[in-house]
Amino acid sequence: MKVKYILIFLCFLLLSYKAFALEIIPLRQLFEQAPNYDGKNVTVKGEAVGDIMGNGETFWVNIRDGDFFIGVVLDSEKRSIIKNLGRYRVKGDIVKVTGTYKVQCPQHYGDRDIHAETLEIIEEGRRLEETVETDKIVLSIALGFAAILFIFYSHHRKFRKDSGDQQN
Amino acid sequence: MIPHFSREDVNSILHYLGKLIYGLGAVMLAPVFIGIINREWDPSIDFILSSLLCLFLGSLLLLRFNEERDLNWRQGMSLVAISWIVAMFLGAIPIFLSGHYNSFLDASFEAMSAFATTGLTLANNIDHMAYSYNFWRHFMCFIGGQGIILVALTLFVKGGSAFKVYVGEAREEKIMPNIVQTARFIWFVSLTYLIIGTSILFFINLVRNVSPGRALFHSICIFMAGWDTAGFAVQTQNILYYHSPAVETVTGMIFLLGAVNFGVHYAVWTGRPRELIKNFELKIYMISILVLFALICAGFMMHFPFPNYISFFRTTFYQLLSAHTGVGYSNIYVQDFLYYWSPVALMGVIIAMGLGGSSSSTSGGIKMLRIGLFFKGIKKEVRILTSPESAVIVEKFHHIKDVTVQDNHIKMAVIIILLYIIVYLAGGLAGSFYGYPFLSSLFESVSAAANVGLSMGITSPSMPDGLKIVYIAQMWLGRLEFISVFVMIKFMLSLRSPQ
Repeated sequence: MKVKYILIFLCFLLLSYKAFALEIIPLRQLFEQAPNYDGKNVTVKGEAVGDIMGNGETFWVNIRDGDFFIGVVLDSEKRSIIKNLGRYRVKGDIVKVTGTYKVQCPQHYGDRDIHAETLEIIEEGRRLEETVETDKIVLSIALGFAAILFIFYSHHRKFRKDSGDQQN
Repeated sequence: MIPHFSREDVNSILHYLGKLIYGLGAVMLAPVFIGIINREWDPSIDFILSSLLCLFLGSLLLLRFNEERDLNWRQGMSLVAISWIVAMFLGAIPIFLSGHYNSFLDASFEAMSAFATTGLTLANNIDHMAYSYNFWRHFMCFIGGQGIILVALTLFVKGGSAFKVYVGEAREEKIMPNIVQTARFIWFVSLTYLIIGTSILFFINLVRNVSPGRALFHSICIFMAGWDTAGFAVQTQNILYYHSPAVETVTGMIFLLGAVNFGVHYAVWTGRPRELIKNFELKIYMISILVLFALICAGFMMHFPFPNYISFFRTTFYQLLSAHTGVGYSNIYVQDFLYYWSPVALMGVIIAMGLGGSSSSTSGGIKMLRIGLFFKGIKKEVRILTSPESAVIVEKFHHIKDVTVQDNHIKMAVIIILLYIIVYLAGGLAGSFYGYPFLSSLFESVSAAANVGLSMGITSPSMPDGLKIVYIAQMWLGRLEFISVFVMIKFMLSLRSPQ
């Protein structure tokens, strides 16, 4: 009977520990309540932006969740999962990452990071269309003509003044 | 009594302003090139439109104020102060059109921050910004760091006018006898380091599997903002984005070089490397870095949040150098300052920002030479009081050449130091007025006025407009070191009052 209670208690502890890994935690929360999550297994989601950097076995990708960012450490297998990185006219893949969160990672000289254990794409990124506003083109042409006219008139006036000075 | 500004003064100032606007329009074509390479058609049109607007406004001014005369001191000083405001508004146009800014005020803040080489940003979502806009943000840093007028000097301005605007942009030393030669030397040094620094960063990025095009873009931008001690970065996370001690080491070397007096660069380039050891300002700089690092270490004695001493050194020393050189690059998150840095350690960073780098360099703040002169002044006074009355006390130091300390040197240094302190405190109080904690407000205020760019999170698109205007004024005053702004204010007042 006693063993049964101990087992239930241990299961409860394990579940509460793993609970961080099951629910998606906003990055804001990871920053504002950092000590609560430090060294724990967490699940976060965000848009992969910029570049995947690194060589050999370890790679970095930065993910963005609202105004918050974090570096995620990946192995080469997980690296190949990400296809679209957020840039100009590109919406990056929205990834769900589960891994160990370190506020001051001793392995990476104090970087704040998540060492990914699993990574999956929950929303594929895509290229976005660029629209060119014709109003701007019309305004540019008008300004260009006006500027050329002013420059021409300015030179003409200077030329007339110089020739007038010479005649006097 | 100071004479009123005349119609002739107005003509001269607006004539040269027209030329400056021409110059700004010309440099706005550089991002068009970047845009075309990357097939960014809409951003390219924004830059063409802005460039043509500059051409239009410049030609309008030159048509109306067409007589070219040599500038006198007050005209030169006023021209500089007005030019920086005009450049801010015009430089803001293309980035405002990008849609990454909530208002034209935010875009103007960004432009002033770039030109004044501060690095505080109000941009939304830099990570999705077009290359051309991002390049312009960094290019403004490069132009501003060299001196907006200095850029124009090498293109349009001749004769005695040149030195007046050169001094107006807070550069006092003529490195070479001719001021245009001096301007060209500054460009030569900057472009040489641009090639070296960009190549090293490019190589590091390539090794880390970044595509060649992006590696080159990142490297050029990071160099420009690092060398000119501005602190903008291509991505929102700043230098932290790279997660690379190698990038941090190279950027550290770049901004340290940027914070050294161009006179010292000239001495080393012309075969006088001993200047590095003998230079009074550099000695003061080294002492200041060591003392402030000791203060930051003391700030972490009670609570040490780092996993080891390597992390501690990497984080704290980089922030210290970044603050002291005025670059504002950061390898930590804003929240780290809030949660992990003690008030003592933060004071170390605030003092470093306030003191700034070398005179006649690209960094802002009080400058080491003035701090050195301040201490020389104290030493001289103590020596006078402890010597016989008939004794003649002479204090000397070596700064490019041997210099005897004059009373007016000390007087000017103390005036500028006091003005900086007043501006730092005023900005801190303004932040507190808007409800921010005083230490964070002081941090942000010093960062703005000393043109650093480190932030404790106050600077954001959602901060009050009033505070944005305060920081713009601080960046402008801090970059031009007050005097030319005061002359401009006098100019404006004399236009209003009858002669």
